[in-house]
Amino acid sequence: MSQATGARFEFHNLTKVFGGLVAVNDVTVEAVAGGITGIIGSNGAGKSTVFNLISGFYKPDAGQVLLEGQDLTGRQPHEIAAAGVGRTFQNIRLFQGMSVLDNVRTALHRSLDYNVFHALLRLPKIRSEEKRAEEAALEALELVGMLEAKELTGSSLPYGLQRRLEIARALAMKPKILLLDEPAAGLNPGEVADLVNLIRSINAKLGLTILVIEHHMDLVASLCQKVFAMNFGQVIAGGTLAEVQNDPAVLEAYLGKGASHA
Amino acid sequence: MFWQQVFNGLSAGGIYALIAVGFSLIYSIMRYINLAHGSLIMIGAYIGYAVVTATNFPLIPALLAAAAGTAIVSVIVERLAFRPIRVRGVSTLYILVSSMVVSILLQNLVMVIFGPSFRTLPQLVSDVPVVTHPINIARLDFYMMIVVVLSLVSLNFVLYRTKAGRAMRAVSFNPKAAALMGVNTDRVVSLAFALAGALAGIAGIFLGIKYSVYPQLGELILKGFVASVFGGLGSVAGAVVGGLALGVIEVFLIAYGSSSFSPVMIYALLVLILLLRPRGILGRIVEDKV
Amino acid sequence: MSDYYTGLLVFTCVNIIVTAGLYLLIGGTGLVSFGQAGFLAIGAYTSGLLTTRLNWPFPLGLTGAIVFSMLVGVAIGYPTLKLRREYFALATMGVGEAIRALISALPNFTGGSVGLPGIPQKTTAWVVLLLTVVSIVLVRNYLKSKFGRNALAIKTDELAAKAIAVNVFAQKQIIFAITCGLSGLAGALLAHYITYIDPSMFDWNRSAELVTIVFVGGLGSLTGGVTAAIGVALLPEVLRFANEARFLVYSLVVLLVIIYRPGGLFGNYELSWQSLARIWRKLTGGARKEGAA
Repeated sequence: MSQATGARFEFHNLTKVFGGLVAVNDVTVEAVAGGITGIIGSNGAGKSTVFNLISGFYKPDAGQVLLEGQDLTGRQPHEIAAAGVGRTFQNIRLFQGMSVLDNVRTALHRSLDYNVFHALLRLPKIRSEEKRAEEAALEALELVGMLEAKELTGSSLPYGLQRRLEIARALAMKPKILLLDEPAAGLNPGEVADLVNLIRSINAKLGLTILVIEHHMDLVASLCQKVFAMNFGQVIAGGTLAEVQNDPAVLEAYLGKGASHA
Repeated sequence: MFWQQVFNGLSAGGIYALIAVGFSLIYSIMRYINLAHGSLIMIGAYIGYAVVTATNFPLIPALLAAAAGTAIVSVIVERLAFRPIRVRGVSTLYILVSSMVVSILLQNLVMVIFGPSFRTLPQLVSDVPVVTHPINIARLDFYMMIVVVLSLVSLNFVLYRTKAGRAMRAVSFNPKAAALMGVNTDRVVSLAFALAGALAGIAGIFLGIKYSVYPQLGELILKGFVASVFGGLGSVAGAVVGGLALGVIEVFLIAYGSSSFSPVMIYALLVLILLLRPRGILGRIVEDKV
Repeated sequence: MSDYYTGLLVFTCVNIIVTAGLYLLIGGTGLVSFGQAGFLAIGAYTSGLLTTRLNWPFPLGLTGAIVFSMLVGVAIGYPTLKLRREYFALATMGVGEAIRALISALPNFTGGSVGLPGIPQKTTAWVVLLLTVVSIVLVRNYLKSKFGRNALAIKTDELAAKAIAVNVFAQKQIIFAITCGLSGLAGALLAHYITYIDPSMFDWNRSAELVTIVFVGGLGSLTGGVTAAIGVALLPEVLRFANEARFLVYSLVVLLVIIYRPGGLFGNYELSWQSLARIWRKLTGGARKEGAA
């Protein structure tokens, strides 16, 4: 898998208002090119909304999303995905009933060089293209260590494997950046450790820029070079994890007033 | 002349509103498109016909009898044809299709029992107009308007002023949470279908008087669908507004356009509304949320 | 072949062709069109008018029917395919009725509600069989390609499909165009068999019947859809002795299937050489075991 290594990704002054409630307020984040960047914060801090704004599921009211300098602001989700933004969902969204292999193969549709007429007439070209798709899908499955499970139904797998499959599906698109929405949610400690290794190895092998939202501090601590903390829709601190953890604003937000002079 | 046309439109629209209200009620509470609602109206007309020919009841007892009878049929339909699907938790698509088949089934059932012929209800409403000046208001239209208003008012009372109504709105808002809070979903659903059935029964009598009673009477529901999309799916008040608007538009299309093109224009308008303002006049929900 | 059996074959095949297209739409995207009879009407009238008024040859009439139905499908799909499923269902129902009303409203052009007589009888048993097989193969090919996977992705999780760069709207447009094209073809074949068409043949009950066929066959199986289409065409003939009650019996059967077997009669079973071989092995294996016992 050859990826454009270390895509630059940033968004500036993102703002989203839901019926008078400011869910995301003037958020600016610059991801570490080729590295792993974390966004932390409590529930309702606006982290998931940020992801939905970046990937086009919500339209931002203000701000700008830039991938390698290319403006993605306000585009349709499928256009943003096509531009190179891969993502997973907090509550795993696999294609129910599809096999593991087909879940990944579906994500390869853009790299398959044939059109509707080829498909309807099932021209010989299809066979070779589909063969290529299968190989690419297997490659993505190998990357997450799920080759043996390829024939199984995706949604019947244990949670940890479903999460991996979702990552494999996103990787099959050959994205420039990968957004992971609470990847450790619902996993047991063993599965979290596996996941940390997986994300690190993907980052190392592909040099892929990764942005991760997480509650799980162990995961953030062992993966992220740079961390942004959010509270009430705003970024309150940014830097290394140690810097962020000692930031007065963060301490106040997490431990409440008075924590700093206790 | 102009106001007479407006009134004629409103009176036709009253029928559409009556058809649409029950349909809209089920959609607003259950998010089901109940395609069988038209057939329930037809059943209501037949119940009214049977009761009136057997007992010579006047209008109001006949309305009550049809409302009660159709409410029972409606609850039975929900229990037999929708509940098993809902309990299994498969897509509401199946309920849509199930309701469509129920509609065909009821139509054929009536066809087998009563035959395909048209039947006329004995005269329940006198021909003497309520007023003739400045515009002519037929007694039937006048009563219908009163009934539409009464149904809407009492429906609002039930939905917003009673415990059962609160439970219904809770179920419509979030069925799972409502069940956790101790709301008996099954009973609430039955109640909603009983209410919609009663409205269908009332509509059935009026349709029967206006157009006579026959197995395909329920196909008028198509106008009810259009009315509820006009007014906004899922809004009961919208269904009434949409129905009245549809009636007026139709009358003016016929008066100042062409009678043969009026149905085409109505459906074209439907598509146009879906294109420009899919939530209709008073509706809310259009797209699925993320 | 006697006229009776040819007629039965044509009606059955017309059902199969529409079902194949409708299966692609419902089984592929989860959208239900309640106006497909309108598209049968478009196909029937397009070819009927082209061959009678303009003396176009039959193959061109058929082509015209397919193309025009597809164009109308694209035009209708543009505003409606973005909406929720319920809205799409009601909108297509309205469209179906609008098409019928339009045909009735243009008596000078279409013959109005009196109908259009004198359409050349060109649909033979062989023509209809060939086109039915072609239609099934086209739909099967579509489903077996990346487009089929995209469709399934849209049906199961539209958001996840968007997240892997599937242009959901465009995919729905393509599918709805194919669905409408096949309905148009079926309508034209019907018109060129019965030689006389009128708007009442394409009413809402016809649309409803077509949808039930797909659900009885199951949303996961084209084989099921085709089998159900055959069953639905033949059942009224089988139940002929029951007279008026036959539609009652038929709708009762359909209702029971939808309520108690939501996967349809066939679930996800798909007829293929492999599955036939598997059944054969099972049968022969079973026989051998019996022989051994």
